[in-house]
Amino acid sequence: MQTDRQWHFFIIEKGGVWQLSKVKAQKSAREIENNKLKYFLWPAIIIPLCIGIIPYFTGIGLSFTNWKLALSNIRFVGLRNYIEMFSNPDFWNAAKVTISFSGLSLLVEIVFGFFVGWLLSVNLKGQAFFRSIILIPLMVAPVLSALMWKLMLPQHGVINYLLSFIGINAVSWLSNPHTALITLVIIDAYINLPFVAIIILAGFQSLPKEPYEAAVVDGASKLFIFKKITFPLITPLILLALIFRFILSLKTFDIIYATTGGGPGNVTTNLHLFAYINTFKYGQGAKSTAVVLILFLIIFIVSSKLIKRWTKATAYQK
Amino acid sequence: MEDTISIKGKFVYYILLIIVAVAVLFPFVWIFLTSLKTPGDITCYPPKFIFNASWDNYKSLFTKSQAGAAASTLNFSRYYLNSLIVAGFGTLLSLIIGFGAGYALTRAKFRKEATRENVAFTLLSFWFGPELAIILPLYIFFNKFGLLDNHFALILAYQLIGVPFAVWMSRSFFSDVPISVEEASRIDGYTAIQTFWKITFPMVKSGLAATAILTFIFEWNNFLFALVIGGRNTMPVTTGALGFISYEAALWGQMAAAIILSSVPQLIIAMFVQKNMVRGLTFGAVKG
Repeated sequence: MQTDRQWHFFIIEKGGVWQLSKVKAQKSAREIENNKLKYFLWPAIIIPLCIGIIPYFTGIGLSFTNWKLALSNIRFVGLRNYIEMFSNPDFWNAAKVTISFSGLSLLVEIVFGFFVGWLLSVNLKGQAFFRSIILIPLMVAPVLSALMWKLMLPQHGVINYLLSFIGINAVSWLSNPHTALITLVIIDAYINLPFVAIIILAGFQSLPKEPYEAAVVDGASKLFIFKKITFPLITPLILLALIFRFILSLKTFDIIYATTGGGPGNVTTNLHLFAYINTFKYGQGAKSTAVVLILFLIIFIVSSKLIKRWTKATAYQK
Repeated sequence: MEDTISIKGKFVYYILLIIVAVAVLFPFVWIFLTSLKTPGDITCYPPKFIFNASWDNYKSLFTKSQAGAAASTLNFSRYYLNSLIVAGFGTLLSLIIGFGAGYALTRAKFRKEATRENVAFTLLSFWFGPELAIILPLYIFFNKFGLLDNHFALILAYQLIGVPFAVWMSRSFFSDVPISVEEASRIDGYTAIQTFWKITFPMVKSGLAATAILTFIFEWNNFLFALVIGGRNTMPVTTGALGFISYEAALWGQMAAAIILSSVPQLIIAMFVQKNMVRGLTFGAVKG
């Protein structure tokens, strides 16, 4: 079918014989120019290719070598890095931290983000003010927000002072192995919960009126309306927020690096940070590449599953 | 949805909203107060809400002669300049590349229709993959060519954040322009370039401005790229701010001042793009 865009076929009579003749089709000016538009794509392909795709595949190659920061002759070692990684308890610890950090922060952000998003959607005077306040943490560099919290969280910091009024004893939140991870979850929630909230808010604002009118006419209860109308209509947006947050939280780096640096011990070292520390502290470049590639794979699998769910949930809109 | 809310209901809503707003704003207020305190006031317990404010921390960020050896290696105005250079030129490059590509992805004809989404999603994957997967090999390359701690190299690396974002967001605005409008203008005799500048561009102007601002903010906020392939000369504020707390010294007040100075300007420019924030943060998936 492709060809008949460029060629027209005619059956014509030539000297008493019928024959097939093909004539190059005239392209419309618009079509030619739309074809030329493709050239604008090249810079967007070439630069990411050089600084993104080539390094990425180099990284895959490197993960099968013995590359170390201090080592100049790189040698192929097969699957050794991967095998050693899987038998390394620190790797499994980092994997565990990644999962518990992401799981907990997702739970907090989705549940409370939904609540805040709903709160911001209520029709009240002055909402514009609250809606712009909630955007603030999204615009500040995560590493700077994390540092703010670090300045507030020491044993004699302001947070402990405020908590003392509600009877919570002073803890040095970030350097206590029992509280470090949960504190990071809270810092992460401070930075990213607004993201969930504004997506949910956008969902509430775009709800159609008709189903509600119909439900009121039918005398449906508020709970029923929420369960059967609001929630299904908001679900695609919850899924979208979930996709974004899940992917990004699995590769969290900035806030952990800036606050605990993975400590105390390794209780807050997730896979991304583990790979960084392995490279720049222990010089294990190749092994770290193996770790981030495993992380990449996990993110890829999870996100494609979630995106499939999302496509299904939004299918009725198309 | 509820058209009428009782007075009591309103009261509860406002209380909850105020709690949320206070929770968001408190860290900023506190860090600002900290930045006005002397070292003695910062570490005293219980924390002081009322104290003698001074701008010393801000002044010392911009004067070289600082007490303590550790402080002398910190050069905040340099970090700030680096951030402006790298994020500024980085954004410029991202927009030049990204807008062209965004328009092409919306309007160009491809031999295989799948190309369109394949290119778009490949670009997007840079945003969602763990950065180290790319930045570690890039570190080797840059090391080999002597490009570590180089502004130009950092600007190039920032394209991995800037280009995908600029492409996706501008594409979302371009596709809001109905193709029939462009076709009508072509029939009326405008060339493709005239159509773009006289018809399409005015319709997407505010959207592209929002894209520009958000691209700048994302590049300014980047941390990991600068950490790995930056260095003493190219250190932006994000990695520079970490230096205020080290083994040698804990300059809390100066760090607080640095945080305020590095985050407030972008909060101000972000106010101009509120309307497009949701769309920006979801890469155009939610029009908001």
